[in-house]
Amino acid sequence: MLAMNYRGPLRVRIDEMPMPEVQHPDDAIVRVTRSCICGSDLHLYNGSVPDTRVGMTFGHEFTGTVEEVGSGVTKLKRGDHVLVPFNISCGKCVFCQQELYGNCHESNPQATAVGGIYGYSHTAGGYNGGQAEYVRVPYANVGPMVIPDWMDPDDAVLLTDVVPTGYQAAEMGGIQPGDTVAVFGAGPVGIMAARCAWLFGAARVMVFDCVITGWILSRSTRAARFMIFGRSEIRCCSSSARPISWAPMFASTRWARKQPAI
Amino acid sequence: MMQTLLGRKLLLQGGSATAVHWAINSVKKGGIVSIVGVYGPIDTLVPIGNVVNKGITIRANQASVKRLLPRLIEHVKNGVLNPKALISHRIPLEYISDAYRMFSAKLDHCIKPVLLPAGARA
Repeated sequence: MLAMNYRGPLRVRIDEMPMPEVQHPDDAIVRVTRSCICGSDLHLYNGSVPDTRVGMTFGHEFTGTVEEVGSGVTKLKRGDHVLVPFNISCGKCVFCQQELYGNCHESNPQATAVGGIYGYSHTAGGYNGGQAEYVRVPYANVGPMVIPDWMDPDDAVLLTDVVPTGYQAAEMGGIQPGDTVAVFGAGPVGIMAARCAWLFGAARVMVFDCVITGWILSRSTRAARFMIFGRSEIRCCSSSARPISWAPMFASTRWARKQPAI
Repeated sequence: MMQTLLGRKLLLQGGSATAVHWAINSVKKGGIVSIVGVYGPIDTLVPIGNVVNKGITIRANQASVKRLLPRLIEHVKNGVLNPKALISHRIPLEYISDAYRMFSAKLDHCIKPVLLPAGARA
């Protein structure tokens, strides 16, 4: 099968790699249908994550169809179209029991540092990721979720990391109604965090970055006010932020469905 | 300045230390700084004096995707969130080295590339 192959900092290529196999009764093999490159993959690409080994496949945001399941897998069957959360969690340890699925203590030998993550170096467990044709999914009864029929696969692949991370950032911010929220970083997660901040009752949301392109602004009219900081000044580059009451109102109209706004 | 030197030049810090500084220095007293993303286990400089003296709460974690999925799926279903609008490029898996180079340099305003394996392309 074809898979991404890490050869060293700033060197990645596509290569013919061995097919992943079921190694444990709870494993599933998934044929990838969508796979994103995440901004955090660039840390790996630049060589700044410890213990990133040559020959690894990156990719922690992917969806796919189930090709094969181990004997212990009861929640999935061959042919299911699933979205696979980026964290690998056992579902049984004390942290998973508290719904801290990103901090699982079983899925990574280095669990005191971080939980298991697909395709994120041996620091995060040494699992191969989804930038490939096939990928092994451990703990297949816990992580993967069957994508509802009505859902666009493009939405599903973003629900594996970008949307939950942005949402949790807003949630952890403890936003009270009327608060002003500042988001640093206008990437996909930052935009999603800004968008979700309205859901918690923010009165004003601002996103700061040193580069904000027109493409982002045109797509993010529902998200926030965007601010660019230069060397000596901060400049507002859009004033399209809407008060909270507008967001659900527009979301429910047909007009909103036609818009590409995030 | 210090973050640029230690982070970008010497690679002693993993993660976006500048953003952490800006957040801690701009949040109101008694406010909450919420951090997500990728940071090295030990080596990001945090202005801990400001955290203490301003009474800031720092909350951070990797997202607990499985916990959040049910409510996020509802939000997508109701049109409150429209995540697919974030996708900027759709690239065949075979061109992955170009995809990384393009995304890394933000060429063509690439902020979210999706890779499509041959079997998934209609």
